[in-house]
Amino acid sequence: MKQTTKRPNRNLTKLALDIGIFLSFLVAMAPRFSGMTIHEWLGVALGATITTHLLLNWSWIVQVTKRFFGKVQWSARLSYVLNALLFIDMTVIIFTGLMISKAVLPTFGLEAMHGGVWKALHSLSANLSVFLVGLHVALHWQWIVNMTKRFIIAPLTPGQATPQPARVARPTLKEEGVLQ
Amino acid sequence: MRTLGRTLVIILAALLVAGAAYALGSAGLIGATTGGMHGGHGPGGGEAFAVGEIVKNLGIIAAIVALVVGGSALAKRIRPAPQPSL
Ligand code: HEM
Repeated sequence: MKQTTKRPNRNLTKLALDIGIFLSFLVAMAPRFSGMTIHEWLGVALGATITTHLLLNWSWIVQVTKRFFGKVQWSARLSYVLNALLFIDMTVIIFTGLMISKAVLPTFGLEAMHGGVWKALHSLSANLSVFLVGLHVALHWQWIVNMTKRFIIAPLTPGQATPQPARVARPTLKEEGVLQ
Repeated sequence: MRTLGRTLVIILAALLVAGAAYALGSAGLIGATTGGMHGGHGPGGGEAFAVGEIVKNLGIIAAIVALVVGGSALAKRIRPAPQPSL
């Protein structure tokens, strides 16, 4: 007998992770809301979830990297540059956060630097990230709307369910907005 | 194995960025012009202020999305994509 193993839908995994990252980012941007200890650990956890986000979107990264100077949609090229800036900014936020850490580093017996430069840089890169995240969300808005309709709205309104694609295959490069 | 390799690539890229930030920060090239922190966990503000921070950032992100998505939809309406000739 043929055994069918049900793999979780990749897009659903992506959507769930992205919603988690977005909400965590909003909380991390308000340290007074969470308290400093939670802020620091949440920031470190964001580093891990952003890495997972990149792994889930690896094929897009590879394809656009290969075709950056060739045949690729201008919007994919713009997204690529923006995503690179966002990656650099997020890395700087987490790195400078660790440099001024009062909870995470001491847990490992390490002492932070507490320099004014790192505090200023942490604040500056965090402020910049709000704009970069806004642009990142804007450039992927159509995907967010489509997936929200498919995985959140449709199951809640069974009468008007949008038809699910028969195959759960990886989207083509054209569908991913890489190729023209 | 493939995932491990990709993860290492991401970590390596992050280490490069962190190294560059460390070099620039230590050399005093950045920070001199940036002001100090204006928030963090210092005195002042309360629960309402903290929630206000979240709402403010959400508002900024929503405004950017509305501008970019609305702007490009408007641009498409004004200059629709050329129809393929029959
Ligand atoms: C994506 C992740 C992060 C974001 C978005 C973020 C954002 C922020 C923001 C907006 C502030 C307040 C800045 C100000 O008032 O001007 C702050 C303060 C702070 N953050 Fe983060 N942060 C992140 C990760 C981290 C990490 C990983 C750590 C440490 C392990 C950390 C440690 C701190 C500390 C210690 C302060 C308070 C500095 C002070 O006032 O003395 N942050 N962060």
